[in-house]
Amino acid sequence: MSRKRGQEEIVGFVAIVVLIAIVALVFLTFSLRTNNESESIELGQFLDSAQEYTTLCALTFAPDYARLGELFSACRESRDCIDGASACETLNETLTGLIETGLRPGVDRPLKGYEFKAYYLANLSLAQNSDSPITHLKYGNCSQRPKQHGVSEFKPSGTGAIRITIDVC
Amino acid sequence: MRNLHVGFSKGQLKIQQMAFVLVAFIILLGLVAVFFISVKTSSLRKDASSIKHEQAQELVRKLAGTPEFAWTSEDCASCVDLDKIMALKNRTSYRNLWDESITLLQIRRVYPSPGEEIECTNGNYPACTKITLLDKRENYTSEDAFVALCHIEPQAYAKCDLGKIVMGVSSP
Repeated sequence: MSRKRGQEEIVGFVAIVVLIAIVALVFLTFSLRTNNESESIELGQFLDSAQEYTTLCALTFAPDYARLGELFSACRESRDCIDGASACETLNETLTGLIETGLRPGVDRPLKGYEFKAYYLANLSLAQNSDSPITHLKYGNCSQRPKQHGVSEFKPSGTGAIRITIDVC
Repeated sequence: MRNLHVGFSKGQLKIQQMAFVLVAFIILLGLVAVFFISVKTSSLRKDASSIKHEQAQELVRKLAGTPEFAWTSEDCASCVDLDKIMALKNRTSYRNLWDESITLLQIRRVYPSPGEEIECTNGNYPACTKITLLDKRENYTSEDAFVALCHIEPQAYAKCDLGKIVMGVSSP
């Protein structure tokens, strides 16, 4: 009888230990999950500055060369530059150059990869990332690494807005 | 009397057992708390250093908004006027404009990059990569921020490149 009582006490003690371990695990999971993605001012600044970059694409006449920010709407409308190159092609080439020179990602560098997305948002208040994608560039694999996130939003002529985001890891 | 003695001893044993369980429970709780606090503290330190870094970056970015740097041809918060900065370069009267703690102030072109770094002079501008406004040649910790470097081309149109303002603050 006394042996059974002793067993019961051990079971109780183990139950308490297990309970504490579960609580600690839950706390840890929460604290690690919140650090997994963070908003970066540097990336926001990069996106804002990159939008102002003067491309080699003139949409109406030379030398009225378009800013990178203007090429997002031109690409969405499937327009071409006056030299015959497609606005989307120029946009993607320029963006790749800007990201690779400005942020310098690479397997042996601190930045292992990036994912760039641009969307047209018809209604800002109901903004969703699935709204009309304009371009999507990706390098490396960021799925298992902590990410930094940068976002920039601007209004081209007309209604709606363009949201550009970049995730780096 | 003998039975009473045995009962008292069993009770003591029970209290002792309970005391041990409580002590073990509190030690365990303490260990978990120490572990949790150490994880939280390390993440707080990381957060503090990243906030400090971001504040410094914002300070660098603020420079882009000062009249000596700002690009006023169009509404652009992230643009700086490279022509103005170039004019500012050799002005000795502006040497005291910057804070005492600033030991380096440089504007660098990032994209398109010609490969090698070339300091801008009146002779090679704008085919150059950096403008050094201040260099006290002291030890410093540097912070930088992305900006758009805009200037007027000889064909009279505005051209903006991607660049950085680099600021060095004297390290203690």
